[in-house]
Amino acid sequence: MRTLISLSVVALAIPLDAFACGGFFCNNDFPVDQSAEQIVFGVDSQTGDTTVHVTVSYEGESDDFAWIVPVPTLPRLDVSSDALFTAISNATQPQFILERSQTGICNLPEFGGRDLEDSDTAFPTDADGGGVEVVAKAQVGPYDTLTLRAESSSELLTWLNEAGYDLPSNLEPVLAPYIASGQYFVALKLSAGNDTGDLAPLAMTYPSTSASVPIQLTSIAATPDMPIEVYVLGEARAVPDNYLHVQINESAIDWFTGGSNYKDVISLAADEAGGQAFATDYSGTTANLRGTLWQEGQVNLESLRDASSAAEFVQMVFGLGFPPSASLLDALMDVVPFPDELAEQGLTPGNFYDCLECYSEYLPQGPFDADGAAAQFEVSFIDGLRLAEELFASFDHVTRLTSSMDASEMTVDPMFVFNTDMEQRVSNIHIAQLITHCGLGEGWDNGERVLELADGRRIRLPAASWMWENDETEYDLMGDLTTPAALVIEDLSATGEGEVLFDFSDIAAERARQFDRPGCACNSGGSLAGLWTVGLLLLGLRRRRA
Amino acid sequence: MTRGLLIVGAFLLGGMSAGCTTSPEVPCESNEDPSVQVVPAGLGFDEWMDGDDLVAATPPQGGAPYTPLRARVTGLVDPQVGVTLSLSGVDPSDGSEYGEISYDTRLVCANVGDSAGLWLAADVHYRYFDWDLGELDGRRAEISFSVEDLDGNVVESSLGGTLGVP
Repeated sequence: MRTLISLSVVALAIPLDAFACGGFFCNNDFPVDQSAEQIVFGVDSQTGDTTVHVTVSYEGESDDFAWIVPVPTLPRLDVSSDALFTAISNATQPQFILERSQTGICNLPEFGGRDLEDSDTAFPTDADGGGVEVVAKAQVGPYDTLTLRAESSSELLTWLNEAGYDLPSNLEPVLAPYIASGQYFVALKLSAGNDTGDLAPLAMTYPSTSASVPIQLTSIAATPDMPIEVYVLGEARAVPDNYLHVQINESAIDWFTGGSNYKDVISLAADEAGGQAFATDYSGTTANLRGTLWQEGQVNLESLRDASSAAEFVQMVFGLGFPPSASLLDALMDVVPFPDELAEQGLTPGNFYDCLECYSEYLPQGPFDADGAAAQFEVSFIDGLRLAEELFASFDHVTRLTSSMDASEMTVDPMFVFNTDMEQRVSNIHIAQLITHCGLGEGWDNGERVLELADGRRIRLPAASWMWENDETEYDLMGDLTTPAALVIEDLSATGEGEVLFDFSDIAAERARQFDRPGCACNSGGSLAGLWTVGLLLLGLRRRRA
Repeated sequence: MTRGLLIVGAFLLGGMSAGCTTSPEVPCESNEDPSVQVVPAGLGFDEWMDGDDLVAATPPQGGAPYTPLRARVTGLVDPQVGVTLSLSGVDPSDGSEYGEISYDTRLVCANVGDSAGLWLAADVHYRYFDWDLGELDGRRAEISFSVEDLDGNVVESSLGGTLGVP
């Protein structure tokens, strides 16, 4: 048996195509989206409390599941909701919009020009102390939890091993800094009757006024170039305090594919800043998030108490209007357990709950306890939504920061602080203009084009027809203009505007001016100057003749 | 009409004949004399006088006290690829050791400000593991700082002062 310690804070994302199939859950199992580690902080400077919501991911046998995370002080533990991660991620996701326009009169192509859009277990809780103090233990949702303190990493490892964990051998030096700094450890195992299909996001609240990601522990289970998304809710814009901050070079974005390379750009920018840096994806109000997860009275939970059978109960839950999610599936599994026999037959929980009446012989026989089921559903699902919604209700501001790191770069835990001196708003909506110059009746696909970025850079591009004929993409054609990924690298803190260490703005602007589009032995800046010079000469000539 | 076409053609010719210039390069060389300068975070590199007060504080995430530092380096080979920072501290008045910390990182080439052309380590935290913040207040600290590149070249420096808890 090998237990993997994992501080994976990974969102359980709902695939878009889940809504395209016939059933409520269809045939998906809400696959773990390991494309990014996500963690949400709510930092209340007035009460001095910080709440952190993390998703718990694990791949392996349920009996092997174990999870451990360091926290600075004794936490209160609750079950959260994956709906929180979906909502906050969707609302703050960077978007890259290319607005197209034209000058002159563009003729539509007579035949088939390529469409530009298309071109693209329970704990042995009585383990001996041995330098490890069990500060608290509780059942939280599907988890048996322990909160521990230890005098040394070796003692903690020994204790955990005796408690049923089989830990990676390289963990001791990773745990050491946390123990040396007196941190607590929250350890989870699945309680009896639960399996890895029941993993629910966890909320931890503790006295602290800072947000810090225990990334050193993540390094044990990190994937190469692991994207990291941190959301900090609080009184103001949050900035990295001990990591650098990067501003993305918008000419590194592939505007012609909707910014599909954004994660790569973030990764490169972080690397250019030494591997430890964050970019701000969004900073602004939480107003558009409030009420999106839960509003008291939005559904009639009492109606669930009228269900006469498990199948009817599940149908009534579906009728309440909650979107399908892993948390909802988990909650249903608490009320109507997914039979082991069906799992052994290869059926997924989604299949089962989508058609409970199809599997009536596997359902508990006898009268259905609708009151108990309704109460359980409220605890398992609604309370998580309430807790997540409370974040949006309690804090006016949210900052989304992203990075991408290799395990070797996870040597320092990033900390985030509020800064009220800087510009508070950072939009997640990025817009560039693509202007096609058609001249007089030029085919729209033959007109030369200019990509104009928000910072004023104008990049001349060949006509769309040239791109097709040469089988080129605009992004590839831009070549050097797509580097560096970081336009500005800066050192920010709780006060002031920060210190700029690296600023490529002027050079990038100059490069854009000099960019030689194919088929023209010139550059953009010189081109315009040359046009005016020759034009004036000719006009002067005309006047003299007149 | 012909003259109009000539003007348009001349404009295009003018555009094609315009000159090109080369792109400016980002600075930071590795052929200078190897050196490292380290100061407390938040101070300019010319604002620190050895012997001044050194801040010791609880880091935002809690845990062992720390002194935030920053450093700039010249003369190392490819510090953007990787270096190892090593810090150790001692109280020179009684020889008490504050501990050692070492980690791998990469440096950033500054191209603006008074560090333009130098390699920067912007946030270096020296942690006083096994020490309480209260114990540190008023003690002396001599912090040794070294940076080693992947070729094994090492630059060293130190700074000392009286620890103050804000």
